[in-house]
Amino acid sequence: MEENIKVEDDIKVFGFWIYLMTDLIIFAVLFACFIVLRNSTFGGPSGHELFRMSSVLIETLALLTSSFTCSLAMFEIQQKRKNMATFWFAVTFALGMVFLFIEFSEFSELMDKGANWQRSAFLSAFFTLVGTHGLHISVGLLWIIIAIFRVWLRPLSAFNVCNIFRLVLFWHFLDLVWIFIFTVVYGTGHLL
Amino acid sequence: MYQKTLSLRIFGFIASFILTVAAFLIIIHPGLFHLENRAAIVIILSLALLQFIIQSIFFLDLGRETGPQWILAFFISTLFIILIIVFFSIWIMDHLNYNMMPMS
Repeated sequence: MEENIKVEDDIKVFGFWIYLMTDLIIFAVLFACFIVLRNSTFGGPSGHELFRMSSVLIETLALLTSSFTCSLAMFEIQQKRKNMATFWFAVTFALGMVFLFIEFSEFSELMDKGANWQRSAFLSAFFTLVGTHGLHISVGLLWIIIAIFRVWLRPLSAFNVCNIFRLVLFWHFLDLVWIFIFTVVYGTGHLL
Repeated sequence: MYQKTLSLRIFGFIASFILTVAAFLIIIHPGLFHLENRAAIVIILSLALLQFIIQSIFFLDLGRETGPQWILAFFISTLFIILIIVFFSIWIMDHLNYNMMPMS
């Protein structure tokens, strides 16, 4: 019990935090690139014509809720309730899949309209930024599957709990980045 | 102690949810709130910043380390780097466009 409470102080968590911050800098560079190129549509479609805000809202709320259920899973692990933790991780996984599905269908819809990443600098920056986030989500989903098996099959030792705690940090971090994609890419894109 | 943590998470979730929906409504109907598009952008950016702070505190537990706050220090210095990268990129590149593309 004592070692579980102290998991946040682990040196591994600090190391993982350093990774998350460097990842945040990658996203910051992609954001800067996107904002600089926001008007460089080369005669192609702009964000206002392309983005369907209703599906973006569902996407955003799905990711936000998954971030919340993920923290509930961590709570259950600290309470040593394995079944509930597995359940909440499964919910997180399902919501992450909903997010990824909506994102991919949006991408394919853009492709159908001829708005691919070769069309304009704006669309290149858009696909790079949102695609990088989607890639992180895919990796996070794989990690959730591993975490579910870890909760299910392994004892809740300090080592395993620390690993799951880092997954939870990663997933919260992805939602943190998505707030700004929602606002900067879709929000200002729709308003301008 | 755990129960307290859970109520923090629930508060963070509800606050983030409300802020997201509020930002969405402003994006869809800026006229409903008597907002110019420029003003609407400033407001949704502030809402995003607020939600960022709320999620950092209530989901990532920033500032609740025991002992020296290394994670918080690292987080804030990273935000400083990001501010420099994003703000100065926009500033430089927008003025570059302005000076190099003569508009009729």
